[in-house]
Amino acid sequence: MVMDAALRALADQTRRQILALVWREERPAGEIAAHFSLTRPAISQHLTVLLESKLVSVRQEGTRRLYQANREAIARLRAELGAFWDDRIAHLKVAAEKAEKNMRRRR
Amino acid sequence: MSTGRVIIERTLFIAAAPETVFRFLVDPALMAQWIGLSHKLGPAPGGTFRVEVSRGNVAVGVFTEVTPHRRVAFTWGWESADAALASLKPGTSLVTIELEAKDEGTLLRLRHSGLPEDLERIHGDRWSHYLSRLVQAVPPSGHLASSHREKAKEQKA
Repeated sequence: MVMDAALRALADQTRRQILALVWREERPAGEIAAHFSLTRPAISQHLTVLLESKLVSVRQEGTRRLYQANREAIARLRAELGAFWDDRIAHLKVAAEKAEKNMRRRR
Repeated sequence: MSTGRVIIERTLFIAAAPETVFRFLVDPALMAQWIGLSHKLGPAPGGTFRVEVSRGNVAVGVFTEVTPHRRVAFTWGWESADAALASLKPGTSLVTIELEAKDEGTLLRLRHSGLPEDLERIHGDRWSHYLSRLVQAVPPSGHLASSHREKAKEQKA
């Protein structure tokens, strides 16, 4: 499931930092790697996880691959947080209306 | 996409008096009908708010306001064996629930604010932690409330 993959991808600090780097503008892998003390293959591995989780997208420009945050995917995560409260207050509505009906019946 | 603060706001009409709805916000047995597996509530300013939202993941805070039949507010953070979830300490965010009498029922307004700020300024930590951990704390299926969940969805559809 894409959502689970996105959450797993976000669980790692390096990947969150990469995401912040490519939030505003697209950057090639080399430039991203230069921000970290990790090896290029390690960064490449993190980029793969971000791509597979759809948090980041990539496009080819000549010989370079340019990475950029996929803001829509992140907006969906935020929507998921809203869904948490949607579910909770939907339960509250059902329970409170049931309680009210029972009270009226007793009157 | 908006770059403002992450604030969740929801409004819902409930066909029950504010007095009835209010009891579901302060009475542990009634709260169990809509959120959490176990509860410790001290519904007065400074009182404990402690709700085990899912197994081992406890939302912890204090009540900051309790105005009978009108308004309840409490801070919200996590206690959990999960280190990342636990990094979101009590007091990190604020949940406010307002009740307003309307058309022989109640208009409920929920606002979850103080969530990590500007998405443009994420430096990898608080914001994404918050979202991912909060979502993970409430598994989408295989949970006690799953049958209720489905019902709620059908009603919305």
